[in-house]
Amino acid sequence: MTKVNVGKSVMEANAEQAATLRSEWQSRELTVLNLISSPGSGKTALLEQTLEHFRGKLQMAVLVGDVQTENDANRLARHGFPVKQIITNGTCHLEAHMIEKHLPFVDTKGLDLLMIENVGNLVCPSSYDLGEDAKVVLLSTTEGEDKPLKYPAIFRRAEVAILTKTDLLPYLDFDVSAVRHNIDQIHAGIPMFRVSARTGDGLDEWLTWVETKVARKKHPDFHQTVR
Amino acid sequence: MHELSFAQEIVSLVAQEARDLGVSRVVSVTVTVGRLMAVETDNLWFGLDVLKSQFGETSQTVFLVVEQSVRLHCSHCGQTTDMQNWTFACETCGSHQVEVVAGDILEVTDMEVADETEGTLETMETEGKNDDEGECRKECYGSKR
Repeated sequence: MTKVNVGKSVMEANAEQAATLRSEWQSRELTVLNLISSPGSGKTALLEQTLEHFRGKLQMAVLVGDVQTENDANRLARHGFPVKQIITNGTCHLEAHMIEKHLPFVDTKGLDLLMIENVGNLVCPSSYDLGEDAKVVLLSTTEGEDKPLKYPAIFRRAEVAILTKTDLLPYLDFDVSAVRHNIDQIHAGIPMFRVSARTGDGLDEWLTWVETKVARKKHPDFHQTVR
Repeated sequence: MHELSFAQEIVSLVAQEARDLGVSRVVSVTVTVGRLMAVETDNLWFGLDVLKSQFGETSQTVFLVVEQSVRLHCSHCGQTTDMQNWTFACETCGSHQVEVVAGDILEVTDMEVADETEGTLETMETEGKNDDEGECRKECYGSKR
């Protein structure tokens, strides 16, 4: 018997596809954000508000992943931007090849911002690079302050965290300072925006962050926020 | 359940590696799973056991799944320490200015391949040659882990 050193990453195929996407998006100066959360945390609601805000200001498109149905795509399409549903038929996350396959359905020419709404799941999507500029993790006020500790990988890999459904805070025992503390245990100092997609409260910070991200992609020396 | 996708990648990767080396049978494979990969090792192992029969090269392979701790390098004090209790802070000085330097990989680390001159498992067993080795092999191939 002979022992052979292999040392090959299992994620290699995905990483190669993600790198191809990233370089294509780099050349187009296209910003891509990958939204990840549990099911029902409010990814689609946040996207609806985001699309509405940027109408007439930015060219956006959305790829939205779900195990079944086109419900989210139908909701998002009402806001006047190209949207393509990715039905995974059971797969609990999006992979780079799925993005590659569905991208031709969205015209990326002249596009400023591509939003990818991942399948609702805090575990598996964290491992897959989709070529995005940043992973964005969402956590709603009904979920419990210890989510960052229970699902550390995604909070470590996300560049920004969004606490959603803050309009419900008066009716809950949710401790906002505790969730901030728990995020800092995993990924100290990342921004945590507090938003209510329902009332619009707190959306400004998030939208400014997105605008800055888009501006930096086009002008890497861009330092100030655009507002 | 992304473990099944990972298992498929691993089995294909090992079979391809064997073909590249010109060997027809892989005896064992070590897979290293970093804890940050959020992989349930039992599920991964189960997936490997189910999927390995796809390829002749892997149909009898024993897969060993090894977990790797998350290690953090501190840019404040320069120490590299094992992460404790899922807190991304330096174990030595407490700083949060840390970078993950281990524990975020999922790789096929190494494998043992059968030399083409060796007999197949079946002949070894039926002929009853090399009792010690035969016993070991029977255990390796027959047992689940």
